Amino acid sequence: MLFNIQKCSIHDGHGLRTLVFFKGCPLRCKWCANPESQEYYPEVMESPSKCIGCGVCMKVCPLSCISIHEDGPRIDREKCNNCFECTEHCYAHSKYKIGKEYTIEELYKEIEKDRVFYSIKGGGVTFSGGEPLTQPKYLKEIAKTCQERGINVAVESCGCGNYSEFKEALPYINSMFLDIKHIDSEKHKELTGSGNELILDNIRRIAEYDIHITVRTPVIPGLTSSRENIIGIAKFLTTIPEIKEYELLVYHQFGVNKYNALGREYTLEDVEPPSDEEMRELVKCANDVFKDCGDKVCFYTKDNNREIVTNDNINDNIKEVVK
Amino acid sequence: MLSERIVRLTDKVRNTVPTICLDRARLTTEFYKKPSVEPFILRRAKLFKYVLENNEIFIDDDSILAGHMASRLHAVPIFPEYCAWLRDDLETLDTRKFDNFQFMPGEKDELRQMVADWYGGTFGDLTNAQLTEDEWTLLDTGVMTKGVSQISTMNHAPDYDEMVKKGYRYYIDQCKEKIASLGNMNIEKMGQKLTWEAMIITMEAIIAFAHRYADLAEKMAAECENPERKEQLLTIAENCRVVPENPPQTFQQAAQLVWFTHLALMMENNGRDHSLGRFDQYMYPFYKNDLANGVEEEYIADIIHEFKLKIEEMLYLHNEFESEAYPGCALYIHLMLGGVLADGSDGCNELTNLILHGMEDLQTKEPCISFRYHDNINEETFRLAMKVSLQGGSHPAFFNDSTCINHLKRLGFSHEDAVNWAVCGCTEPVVQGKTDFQSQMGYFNAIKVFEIALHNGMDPVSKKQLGPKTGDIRTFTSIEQLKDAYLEQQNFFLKKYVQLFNKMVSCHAYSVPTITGSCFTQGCIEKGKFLQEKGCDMRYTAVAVTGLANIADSFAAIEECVFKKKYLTADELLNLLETDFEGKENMRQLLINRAPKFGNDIEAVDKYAHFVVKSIDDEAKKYRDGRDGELTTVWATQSYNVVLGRKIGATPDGRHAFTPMADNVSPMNGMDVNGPTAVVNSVNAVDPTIPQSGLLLNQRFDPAIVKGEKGIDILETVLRAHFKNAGEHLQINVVDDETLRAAQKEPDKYRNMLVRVAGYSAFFVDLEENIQENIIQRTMQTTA
Repeated sequence: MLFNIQKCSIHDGHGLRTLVFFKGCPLRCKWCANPESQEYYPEVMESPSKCIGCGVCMKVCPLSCISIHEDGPRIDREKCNNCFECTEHCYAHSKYKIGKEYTIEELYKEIEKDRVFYSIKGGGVTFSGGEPLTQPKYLKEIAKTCQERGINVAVESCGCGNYSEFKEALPYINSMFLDIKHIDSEKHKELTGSGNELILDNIRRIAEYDIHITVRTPVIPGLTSSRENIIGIAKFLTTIPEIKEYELLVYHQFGVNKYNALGREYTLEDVEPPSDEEMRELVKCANDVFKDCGDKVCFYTKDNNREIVTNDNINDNIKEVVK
Repeated sequence: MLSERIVRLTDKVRNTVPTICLDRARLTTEFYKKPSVEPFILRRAKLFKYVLENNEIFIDDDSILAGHMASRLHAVPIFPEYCAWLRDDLETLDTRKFDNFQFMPGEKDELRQMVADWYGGTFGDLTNAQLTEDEWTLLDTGVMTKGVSQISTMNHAPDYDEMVKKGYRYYIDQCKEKIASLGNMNIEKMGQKLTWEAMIITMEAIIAFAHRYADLAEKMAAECENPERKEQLLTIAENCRVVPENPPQTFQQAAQLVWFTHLALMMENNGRDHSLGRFDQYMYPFYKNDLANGVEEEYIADIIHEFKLKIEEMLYLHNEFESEAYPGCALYIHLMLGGVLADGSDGCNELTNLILHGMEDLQTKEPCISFRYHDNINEETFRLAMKVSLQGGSHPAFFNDSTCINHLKRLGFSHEDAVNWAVCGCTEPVVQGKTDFQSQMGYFNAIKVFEIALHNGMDPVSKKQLGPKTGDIRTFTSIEQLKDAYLEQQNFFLKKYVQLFNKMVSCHAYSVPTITGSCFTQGCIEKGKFLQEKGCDMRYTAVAVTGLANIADSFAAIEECVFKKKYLTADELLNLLETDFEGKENMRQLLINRAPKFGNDIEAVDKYAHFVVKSIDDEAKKYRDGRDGELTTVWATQSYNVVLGRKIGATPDGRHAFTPMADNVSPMNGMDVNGPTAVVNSVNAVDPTIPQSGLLLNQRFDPAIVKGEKGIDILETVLRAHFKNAGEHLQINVVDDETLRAAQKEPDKYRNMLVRVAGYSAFFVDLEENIQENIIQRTMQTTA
């Protein structure tokens, strides 16, 4: 099951890419920017700003679980059984179903539409989520179909899946972005609902395949942003020679409205994105760990450019901050 | 870096309140008071001579190129012999909403008197007199507009390639030789003789006009105490004695020659849309020669800046209706860069780069600078062009050599000629010096025709039965029947449209031929015939069509919602349209959200866009224009999508009555929600090789998405893919803060605007207000 297909994406792989978002994820990261990606079944999302006030949703709901709130008619999620009568009748697309099954042919046809763009600056398809590795058969089929027809395949993953199942897909994947949120398994469990053992094991195993891997850590101030964490992850990476790239992702709050659309609460309202200085300092810490490896690099992305900070180029200003 | 001189000049051009200059109107009115039975053609030539001899001229203190169209900076001349509309719109020229002009004290009264003097005798009166009552109805109801009825032929692309090698004296001598060889006279030969005489008078008049500037520059030099300025003035004087009469020797002289010629095209006949052609090609030898002679490249860069400012300074006086349809005094003066050469090699050179780098320092409203792409393009120059366009000034636009060259070859040009193409109007390719092209045939408002087809031949707004009865949609059982009805209405109205235009364009030959344009278009001197008398062999006209996305979306909405899913009946649909969806917003939403929309790469709707584009082109090919030229089609609306939108009721795509329709070939505002690649794919689902005068595509990008080298990669990918699929044109808009603010106020109109959020992009209007604020702030920081 998918929740979105996004064309013309420029991140998560080389060139212009089509992003295919799988629906369903075993983790529950507190900062998740795509909360609609978490469940493995279709859900109702609500955009109150699109509501035209026709009231039809309240009339058709068989459980009468929609009532008027401050921002319009809202669903009582405790009662809702996802029958989708409301979305069926909401012509304004204010209540809409998220989550759709695609056959391999249907999905491939969508990916194929932008083929001409992939051929120019090295683009392709990126399977993201949710967690693609937890739909291994489907992932294998579509990755194979794409790769056999010359479309570059990338996968974004939290590394949380059953290796014996998803390994079938690995030969059809060109590159992967694998997340390590926290190096301390206890902490990891606290933040995401699961420990990190399986993830770290999977990363080691995947690295044995001929896949270009970028490991990523979302920098969430106060949660994953400690120097110890980043240094710990970097040290872990030094034990896997095949992995050359470590990217730190800047936390953002742009998923907040999606929590509202799903009738859920966002618990990190008060967390501010990290500053440039913080990002640069963390990148530098990781590169310090890498300095004897020769071919490993840590970076973060700013204005479409990779910012690589090492001890050699860190500016005085930041040194001040560090003190 | 701009020189102080260019900075001052830019300030002056941009900060001088636009005024009306009565000089030309006064001289013209005066001239026509003198009794004469001369052939009208000599009279037209002599009028132009009279104007060029007697208008007030000046040289600005910061100029090194001479020549202005009016008697002071940033002023617009009036052409009283053309504009019948002046008598209706004169009172509001200085107060209207768009493009208003101030009068000098007392001159409004004077103009009122002149307009009264010309009553009934203008070119507009002549063309108006040709119209039948039926045709007036078609204009009033917005089925079509009438083009070129108060102006002469537009869209000249003079033969600058040859002219910069020869100078005017060569062309004058040719005319003289032709006259000398005439021998025994007859009626036809006398026609030729008069034509050549008119050409000679005109060219000599422009030469003499240049000499007046030389005299003035010498006089100013004599009085000038600043040695540097004195030197500049003496150079102006020398240049104005050399050109346009003789071949230029320096870059500055060549620029002066081109400028005088373009100015003459504008001043003779209320001109517009004249193309500068391949400036980086014909000016290149002068650039190289100057550098070899020790001229600094900065000096040449400065001349180019001044040249651009000269074009920007020119103004055009539209009537009130058109001032809104073409806001900003658009002149559509195009300048081409890059492109392929006849031997297949790339035309990009150091001058191309210099011009592009100059645009990083100074972007002017006009000339419209366009970049010609082809498979062997110099990658570095191409990337420079993209970088410049991403800076937000919207120039250069990008054109596809292969599509345009093929268009021209199918129109009959040889390959060698076709590679030498330039843009006229918006997207219409012409071969410089070898084409008699007429854009602005008027607009064929296809969405109105569709509306009429929906109503069995009746215009639902005026309640008039304008078209044939093509069937009651309530009795239709499939979309095919509606397509047939549309085609029948299209064919019916296209015939009327062509008949109307042909009357207008034929009037040009008998009242306002373009003499300057004829001198510099191959064939006219050879034949002793003006352009308007078929002097040029290659003639064609463009039918401008509007409403593409709305028709495609409407067809798809009816197919999906009425015939397939049966959400509503045709009768219910007609009621919704009749009442503008009043009280039935949910049904409007249904039509919007439950049917596919053009611009999202969905075959079920894109096929209708193709159907509409192909149908009208096929039908147009059955006609000839009034000069026995071919008809081509072009999909470009300017702002007619707004002004013509006011005459169209609600449409089945969910568009409210009398609101704007989609612009050009863009998707309807807010309906393309899959990003630029999907738009490009939809547009190319319409076969771009069909409309030989082009498909104009605007693409809007967020500045954050297209930052840095990766940003150029994105644009390069979109452009190369678009052109690989034979797309003809693409222009870039980079969204600024102002737009983001506007998007906050009216989110519906900006639904398609992508913004870079963090590691991904999102649609701006889908974001919470505080996030929008955040992005606006960030954008301001990064652009500061």
